[in-house]
Amino acid sequence: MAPVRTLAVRCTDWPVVALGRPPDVAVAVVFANRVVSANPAARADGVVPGLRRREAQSRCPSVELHERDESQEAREFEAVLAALEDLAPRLEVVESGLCLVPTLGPSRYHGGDRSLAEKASHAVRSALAPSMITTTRIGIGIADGPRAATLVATEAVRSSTGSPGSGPPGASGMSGVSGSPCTSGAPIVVGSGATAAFLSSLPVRVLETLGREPADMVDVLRRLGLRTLGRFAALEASDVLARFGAQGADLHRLVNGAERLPPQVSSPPVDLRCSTAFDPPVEQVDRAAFSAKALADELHSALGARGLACTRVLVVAETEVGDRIERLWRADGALSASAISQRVRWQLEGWLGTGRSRSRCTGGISRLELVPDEVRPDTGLQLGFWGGASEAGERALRALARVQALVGAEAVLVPEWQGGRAPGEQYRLVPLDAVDLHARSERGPAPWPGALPSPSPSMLWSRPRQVEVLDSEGRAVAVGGRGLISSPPVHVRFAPEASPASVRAWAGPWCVDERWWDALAHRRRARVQVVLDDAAHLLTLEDGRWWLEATYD
Amino acid sequence: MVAGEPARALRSVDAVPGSTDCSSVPSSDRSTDDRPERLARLRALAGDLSPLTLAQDRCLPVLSALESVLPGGLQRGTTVVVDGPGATALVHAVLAGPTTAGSWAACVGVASMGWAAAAEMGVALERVAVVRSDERRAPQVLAALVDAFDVVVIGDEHRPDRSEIRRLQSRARERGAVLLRLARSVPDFWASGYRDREQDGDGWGADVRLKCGPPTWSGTGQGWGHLTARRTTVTARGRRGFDRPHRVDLWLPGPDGVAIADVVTIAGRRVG
Repeated sequence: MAPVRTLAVRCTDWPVVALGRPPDVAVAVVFANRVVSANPAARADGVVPGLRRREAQSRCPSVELHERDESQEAREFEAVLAALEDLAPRLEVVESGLCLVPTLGPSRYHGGDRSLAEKASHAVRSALAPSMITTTRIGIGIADGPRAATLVATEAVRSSTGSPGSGPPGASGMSGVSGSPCTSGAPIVVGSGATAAFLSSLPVRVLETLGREPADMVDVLRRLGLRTLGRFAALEASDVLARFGAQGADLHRLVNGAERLPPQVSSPPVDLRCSTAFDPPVEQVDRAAFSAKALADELHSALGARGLACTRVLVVAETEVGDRIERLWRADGALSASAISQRVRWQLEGWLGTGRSRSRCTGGISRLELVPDEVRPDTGLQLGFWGGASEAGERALRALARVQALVGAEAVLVPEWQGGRAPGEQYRLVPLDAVDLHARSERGPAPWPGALPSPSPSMLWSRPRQVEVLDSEGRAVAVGGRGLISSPPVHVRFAPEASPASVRAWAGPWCVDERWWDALAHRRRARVQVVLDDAAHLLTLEDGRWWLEATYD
Repeated sequence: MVAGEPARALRSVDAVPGSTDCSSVPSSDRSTDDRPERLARLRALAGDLSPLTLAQDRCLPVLSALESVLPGGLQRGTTVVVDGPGATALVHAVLAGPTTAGSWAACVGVASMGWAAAAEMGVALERVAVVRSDERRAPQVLAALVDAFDVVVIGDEHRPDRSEIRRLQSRARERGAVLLRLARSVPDFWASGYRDREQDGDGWGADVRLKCGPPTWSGTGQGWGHLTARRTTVTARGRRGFDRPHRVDLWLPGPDGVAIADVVTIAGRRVG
């Protein structure tokens, strides 16, 4: 069975594109303290994905850092999808910024693969706002199979920015466009059966775009001296299987032009579709997404009961006026319950949110349906919630879902390590929904320069309270510019009318000068630990005033 | 299985009207030859009706340093009130045992809790959830949490009235959750220090009440060093199994990065 010929559309740096910031401002998007995406202005200053937040700020102090907002990415990408939907009715969204179109019918209608690719390129560009076009680079590729097409689209992006040389063999670039300094590269159409020949000259690094596991393999391949996909493809299949396991063998087949075969299960059982009706129809994303979460759990457990996993799910919504809109989401591996509900949420953001999309709902959603479009035997690709399907964990998660319905999703939080100097900065509370429960960030190994040694204070005052720190003469204690304390603190007064508490022991001051390059965020502080009769406190001096920051309770 | 149990099961089955096929058989028809079979069936039924639960299964594990104040661990279904200076650190220490053993903890009304300190004390934060709730919805939130979580920490920012406490406690008894009350009154703290904590804990009718004594911090002098260790005395009073208060001298935290330790076990080490 031949792989399905597929057109892939990739818009690079979508997280930063979706912000819609002007192109001359350096902008980067961070997630879990790492830069995940940066616009050309930021890249020019050396801010590249993978940098830590601090490294990015030191390379480009003026860079605007934004936390990742996947809902907004989905909302903005919906406009691109709506434009592509005019060309081909059946779209598969992989993530915001990457979607696939099976070309069999559409290219016959539009007069061939090249014509379809060109029309897709125009459609995407017309759907993007002007500021977005300058920020992103659009790559369009057609090849045998979705993953090969993704690699070709990535190559189309690369060739648009790299040196305009002779294209790899087997490719046929669009006439007249190649070589011109255009923000979007010419679409690359790889002929049927020519995939292996086209891929052979590409560097192995392009495999990184396929996901996390291939990215881990790339490093090994490079160290083995295999710089191009052709060298990798030339290895014996049995050797690759022995060295890299099933994952490696799968990639080896891919670079040899044989796409992974469609799942063994012929067609998914009809009775697995799950639906829920809304009465009255919902117009808020939050309400619909909350029901979608229960729906995703239901679908996942129904599939799990049959030993199946879903790799492609169709999200269908019916509106109160009788319209029916649907969208297909695909994942490389099996979709977990949380992954399904995440995708449904993104899709609902696209339909109900405030984006610029034309495919917005004509009214409230009256019915939501999830259809497992492509299923396969579950080989346990993804772990359960919180790294293992412990019964206590699932029970806890269900209870938290109930609590989310009561108090709102943003009031149910989990502590997440982020690192920092001040005791309150080391952990922050993030909403449960915003956390990837499979990959919780662990406490970093390196100590933070400028942070106080452990133990950390067990109570952090959310509203610091101003206190008075007095010396033996009753004068206010100050810390000079060189970090020396004016006189030893003897008394601390927590309230103007309260009697002063005497200091039994004290340590410090530790001075912190943060973000001195930024006039607005610049802070100079000095911290002092004081031991009183009944407790030990951490006091902070800033702008001549003392604050009770934390208590060692 | 004790020899007397089948007979007890027989009585209990007869007491249930029309529940099993045994009761439908008239007693005059009971012949001796099917008695072993019937007894075996009843034995199985008795096992289903009265599941045998050992006391240790009803307990959550605690750190070894706390075993002298919480013998056997945290008993499910009970309420533990923690107060005194150092109550927050003691709550962290109590949480460290169950969370590392795989139990889940939910915290309500703990906006001022320091999570870095909790992690240093050994709390497995990947099994901790925090809920911010207003006073109006707090009873419903707590009821939902008690249903599913092994430990529910109720911080000082939430002050339920006595009827709500009673409802919560009976629910916790039924579900086998441990209510851990961090007793403190933040507004009063500014005016009168730690004195008001005791009254706050009173409404809870605690099964176990842990109280920290005055702390002794080491590590700092007059302008040198930094806080390293605290010595404190924890006293446990309670209803069952506490004929007299249990008392233990603890390092909380201990010197050289030890999270918590019994003073006896760490005796002889010099602390700077």
